[in-house]
Amino acid sequence: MAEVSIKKLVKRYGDTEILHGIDLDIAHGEFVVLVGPSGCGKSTTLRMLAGLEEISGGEIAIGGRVVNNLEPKARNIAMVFQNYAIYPHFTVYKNIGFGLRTAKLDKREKDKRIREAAEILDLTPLLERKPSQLSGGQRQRVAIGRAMVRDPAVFLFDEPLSNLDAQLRAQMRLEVKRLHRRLGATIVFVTHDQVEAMTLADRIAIMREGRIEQLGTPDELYEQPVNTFVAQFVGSPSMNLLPGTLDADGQVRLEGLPEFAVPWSGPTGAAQPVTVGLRPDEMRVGDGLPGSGRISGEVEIVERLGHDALVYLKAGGHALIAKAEIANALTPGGPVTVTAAPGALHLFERESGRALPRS
Amino acid sequence: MSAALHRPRIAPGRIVAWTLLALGGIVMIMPFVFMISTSLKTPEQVYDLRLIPLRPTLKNYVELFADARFLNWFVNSLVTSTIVTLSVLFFDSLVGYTLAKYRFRGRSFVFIAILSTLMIPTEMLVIPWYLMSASLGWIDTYWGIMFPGLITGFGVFLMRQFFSTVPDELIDAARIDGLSEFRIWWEIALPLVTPAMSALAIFTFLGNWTAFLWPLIVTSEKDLFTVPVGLSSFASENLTRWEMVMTGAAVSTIPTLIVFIVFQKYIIRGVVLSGLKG
Ligand SMILES: Nc1ncnc2c1ncn2[C@@H]1O[C@H](COP(=O)(O)OP(=O)(O)O)[C@@H](O)[C@H]1O
Ligand SMILES: [Mg+2]
Repeated sequence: MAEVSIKKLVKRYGDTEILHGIDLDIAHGEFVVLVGPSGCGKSTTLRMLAGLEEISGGEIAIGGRVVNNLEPKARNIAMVFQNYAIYPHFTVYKNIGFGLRTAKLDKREKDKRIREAAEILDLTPLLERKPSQLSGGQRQRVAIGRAMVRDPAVFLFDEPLSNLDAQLRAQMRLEVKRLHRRLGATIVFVTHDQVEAMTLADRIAIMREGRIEQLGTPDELYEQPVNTFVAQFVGSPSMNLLPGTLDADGQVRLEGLPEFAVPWSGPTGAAQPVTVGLRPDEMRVGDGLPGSGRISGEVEIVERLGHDALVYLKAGGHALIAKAEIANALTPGGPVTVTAAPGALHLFERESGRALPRS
Repeated sequence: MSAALHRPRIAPGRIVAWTLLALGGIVMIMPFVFMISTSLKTPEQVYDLRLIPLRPTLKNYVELFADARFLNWFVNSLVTSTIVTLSVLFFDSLVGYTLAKYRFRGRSFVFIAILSTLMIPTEMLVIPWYLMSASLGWIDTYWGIMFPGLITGFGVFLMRQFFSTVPDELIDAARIDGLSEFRIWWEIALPLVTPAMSALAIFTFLGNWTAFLWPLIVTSEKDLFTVPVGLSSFASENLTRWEMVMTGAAVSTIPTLIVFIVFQKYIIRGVVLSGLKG
């Protein structure tokens, strides 16, 4: 079994603490994505898992065995890097098989594994090529192949798709997902791209400045973000965050938009300042259901996405984004009304950014 | 039809450049040509400065190879230059790799200290070297000839710069693939800097093969002379036999040419190999 358990993981470089106590338990066969803005400590966490970076505090266990002081090769992991990191002076065949050199397998078994991996990854015709004769996507597949043949307990990926163009990235994303299903291996995958995270992960850990802000399934993160950071990070386009109040009468109101008043489903106390979160996906252009909150403003830009469009609008001194059917005739500078149903509302404490509980 | 229109014109600037380059080339190759030419002359013809000898002869070469002293010097040069070159390739690249790829306290201090040795001219060092060799009994030994060159600041600097271009991820990947640190250097990093290694090999071999001042000072027994020191002893005897000096010099260029030809190939191949930049 290859579960991973990270406890109170701390990383310091000299006096600066980079990771402030990461706790993360990953089940056997689970696909966990670490996501967050650049510099938040994702790679550092992964490299500590791999044994490439010393652990300043805390504990990492793989398959129930504490690996803090084990060399990378003794941890039964494989890693795929952003810049492929395949050996330029070896052929594809030798690159894929390189990690097997020290494995206690006979030659025929090694050859079989290399060819199997190549077959799965569509690399068979390229086995005798040198990496300089490969495209970026092919190089990354070689790197994945090299990880596969070792049959590791845990796969570690550090932004493996970031260097690929958009189309290839989508294709490789599918391949990684397929690979996971096929191998049933535990995967820890790092990315700064929330779309990648949402599409790949069983569970996502959202990181910021050396901490995990929230850990959960993609749906949980989307439906119940614990704070404004997570709320804005997950979903594309980002959630609209507007200043408002949760009044004592249980109504949510927006500053500068007096016509907006929506009842809040959660507990209410004294009036308090809040940040109101509205996902563009959950807003309608037009009047909407009775009881919806209305926001009237002026269209700034309409971005056509094909089936539907994004409307950038200005209302009450705020900038918002809403999704619209392409059929809605909207012209820049013209008036627009969007509505949000009561269930679509997210509320956060104004000061701390923490989510208010919904019932 | 357009052939006449598009006949390439040679720009005047190019003509000037070519002329200058040709002149420079001639200036550089003349001593070499004279060396070969003189080595083919009889003693009476030596001061007859014509380029093509009247009656070219290989007699000097026969005499040279019959002379046990020259063969002895040749072997001395070959052994010391080869050992020094191998040592430089090994240690300089090892130190350069460490400075480029490991983080440790005092790393830049060490690097600067090594760099600063480049600023000290050999002439200033030979006296301390000599005193040291004298007190340690290294005079008239191979070790005495070789020890100052076994690790060089220049080589360390060169290799450090080249190893810096090897991606860290490649080294990390090799660690995960289970290579020891030494094997990573040997199997992954070194093959990616073959152009630098080849250049360093050429420079080092050439420098040691032609080294004169230090071998002259540290050796007094003729048996331990290197080729340049030995040839100069031809010249300093009461009668200087220039044709023999030149024959010896001509023969002594052969190993340097071989080293150059062999390693130049690796420079080109290395550039092709490491041409993996995106
Ligand atoms: N060797 C190092 N010395 C000092 N700080 C470092 C070092 N490596 C990384 N950091 C810092 O650690 C933080 C996290 O880095 P990293 O894990 O690479 O971020 P991410 O992968 O999330 O973009 C960054 O602020 C970075 O500047
Ligand atoms: Mg990173």
